[in-house]
Amino acid sequence: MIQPLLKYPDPKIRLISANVRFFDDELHRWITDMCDTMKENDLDALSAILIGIQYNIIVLKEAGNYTPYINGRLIKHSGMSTQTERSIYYEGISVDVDRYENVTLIYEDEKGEPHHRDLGGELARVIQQHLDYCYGSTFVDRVDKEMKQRINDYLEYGLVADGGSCPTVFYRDYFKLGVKYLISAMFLSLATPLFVPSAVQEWIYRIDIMAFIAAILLMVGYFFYAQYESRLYKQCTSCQTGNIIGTVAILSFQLFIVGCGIFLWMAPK
Amino acid sequence: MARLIVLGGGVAGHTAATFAADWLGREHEVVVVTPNSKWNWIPSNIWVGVGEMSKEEVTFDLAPVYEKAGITYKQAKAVSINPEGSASNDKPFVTFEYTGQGKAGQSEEMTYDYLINATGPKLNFGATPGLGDANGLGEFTVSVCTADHAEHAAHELEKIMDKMRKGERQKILIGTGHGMCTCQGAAFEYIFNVEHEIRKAGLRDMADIQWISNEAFMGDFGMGGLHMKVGGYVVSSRIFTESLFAERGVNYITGAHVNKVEKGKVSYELLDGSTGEESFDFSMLIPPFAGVGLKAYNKAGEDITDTVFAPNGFMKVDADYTPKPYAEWKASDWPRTYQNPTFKNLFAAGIAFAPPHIISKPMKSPNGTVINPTPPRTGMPSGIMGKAVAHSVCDLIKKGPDAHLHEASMAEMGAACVASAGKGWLDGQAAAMTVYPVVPDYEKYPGTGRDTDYTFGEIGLAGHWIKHILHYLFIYKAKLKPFWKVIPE
Repeated sequence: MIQPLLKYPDPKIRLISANVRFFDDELHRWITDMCDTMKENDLDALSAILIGIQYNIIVLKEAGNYTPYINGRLIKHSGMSTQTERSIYYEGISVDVDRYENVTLIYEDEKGEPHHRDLGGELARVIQQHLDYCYGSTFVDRVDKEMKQRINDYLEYGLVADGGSCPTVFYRDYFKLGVKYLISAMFLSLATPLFVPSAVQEWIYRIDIMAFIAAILLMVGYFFYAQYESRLYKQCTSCQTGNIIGTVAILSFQLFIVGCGIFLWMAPK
Repeated sequence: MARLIVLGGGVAGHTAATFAADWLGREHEVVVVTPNSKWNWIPSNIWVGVGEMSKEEVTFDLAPVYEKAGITYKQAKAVSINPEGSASNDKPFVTFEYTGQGKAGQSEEMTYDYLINATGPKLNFGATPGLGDANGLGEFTVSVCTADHAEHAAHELEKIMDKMRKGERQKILIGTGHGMCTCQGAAFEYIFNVEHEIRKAGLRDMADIQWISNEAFMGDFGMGGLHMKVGGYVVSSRIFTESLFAERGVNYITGAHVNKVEKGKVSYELLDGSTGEESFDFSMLIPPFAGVGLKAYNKAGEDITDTVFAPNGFMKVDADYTPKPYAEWKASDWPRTYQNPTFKNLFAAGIAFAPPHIISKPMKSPNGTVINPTPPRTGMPSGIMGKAVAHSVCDLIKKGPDAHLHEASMAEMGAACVASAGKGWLDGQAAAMTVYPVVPDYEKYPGTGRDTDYTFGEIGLAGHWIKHILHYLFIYKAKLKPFWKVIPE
């Protein structure tokens, strides 16, 4: 029976497939469903999880024949090349992914007999891609962090994923980070009265006051710079102004708590 | 007054003995028989193996701790058990041979009311020619399984780093030294700690680092894989491990049974039946584990080792040992009370009990060579088992033979594994991986047999801090310092 294919953003793609332990009629029914779905969608390969079956089964179509590969594992590999891949799960995205050029797959057939097969070229790439689905993963997990971020942004906001239009780093985040460090340092200093002599503590108190003022200045700087930056990259996120105000509010609250601690607890008596 | 003898002073034995001594008080006697004079927090041996910690930091003398806890301490190696006693005495007894306390080499018999076998594994270096022999570690590879081995490993590592400094390219091979090893986690931690040290020394481009393992897929760890939560979703340990290897430029071979080690070279067979060779300048290969080779005799002095122990030397407990195919494995095959089925006053905990079968999917090469990890039962599960068994024994002593036994099935406990990938307060890294339950329960969780909602932690510096804090915490606990009982296993 033809089954619907799993599409983004269905979270089932993240399920880790189980090993097939029973080579029974149910397994054969799943394989038939997979073959039917492949014919309908004109696919050359399919992982069971892509039609919602959480078992480690991959069907490959070669020269018109459909062969199941069950409980597959890769034990050897050589060579590495980058090629553009598409995914059944993510429509309309193509990503450059590094994959091994040659792999050795060990697997079981539909009767549970163990086999192994050396694969190369396109087949090697396809089996690696589909084995990743079996382990709850897609090519998004096989690219670097920057690319991953871009794909996620694209999926979330529907923008062109070719980069350039959005910076990966906003400078305003450095302001935010600075404030966070200052708040953390002040927070840690709250413990010092427990073990340092009062003379030293007086110094720490003074430093804390300076840090407190610096944090406020940084937040003011953040607020205005972030407004400026968000006008530069209008297309990047949905509601930047809201985010900026939210961030300032959260930071102010944290600073207020730590500030209370400093003035009530650290101040020399 | 009853006497409980605990064989072994590792995680399981030490936990069992210290809790039993505390619960039983002074009116009963707890005896620990262990060949070592020091307690070793084994997970931190990894850091000794790269020279980041000294042997002294991961060990401490047992004698003063046992003195304080009121435990009788025999620095001796257990040789045999007579669970029925002897012709002249009905009381069961153990025979052990001193390794210290000024009586090295002397034999002694000691009767018991209850016995907990927590001897841990014998590091079976002899299983692979060249990896070692009956006497232990061979000359070609190093090991991090004991603090002494780790110290030696750090020394050898320093030597090849010197060569790298002189401009000689070096090949490093780390992994498992046999098709039926467990403890891939230790090798995994070691390879990344070595990589981290070499990178820190600015020598990374002078080293080729290679991983070789008996796991069928990366990140199996003898448990058929674990998982972790990254950015809100669950990631399999395979994907995570492979990306970590790719990121650090470490190549890998999986499904490998190392069948021979020579100077600078290992030979192996893979799951597809093919064979290969790998050269090395420095190699750390984990040996397979076996039982320590305790013997058992009946009243007439006849050997009944087969009744008490499984063929691999581990003690039989309340598990279902009927051989079954993979499809029929059940969570209920796994032991719950760790009581020996023949002799009810015998218990086993930690690595010393015989598991009913493995946890990962069983695998064989076309030549018939079994290549699959054996079940890990170290660390957290060991401590939990040790405590449960001690609890049972205390109840048996205090409430009589009908007391309800405490249960700690590995099919009902989770394990959190914080794997270090480099040591350093600021640039350290560790990955926290979790699994629940350790043994898949296919009835409760159809399919994978696991609950993937149970997670804990991520990779990063915080993970390293947790690992480092655990180091101090567990050594503190093992030394029985104040509040040791509130620290979990």
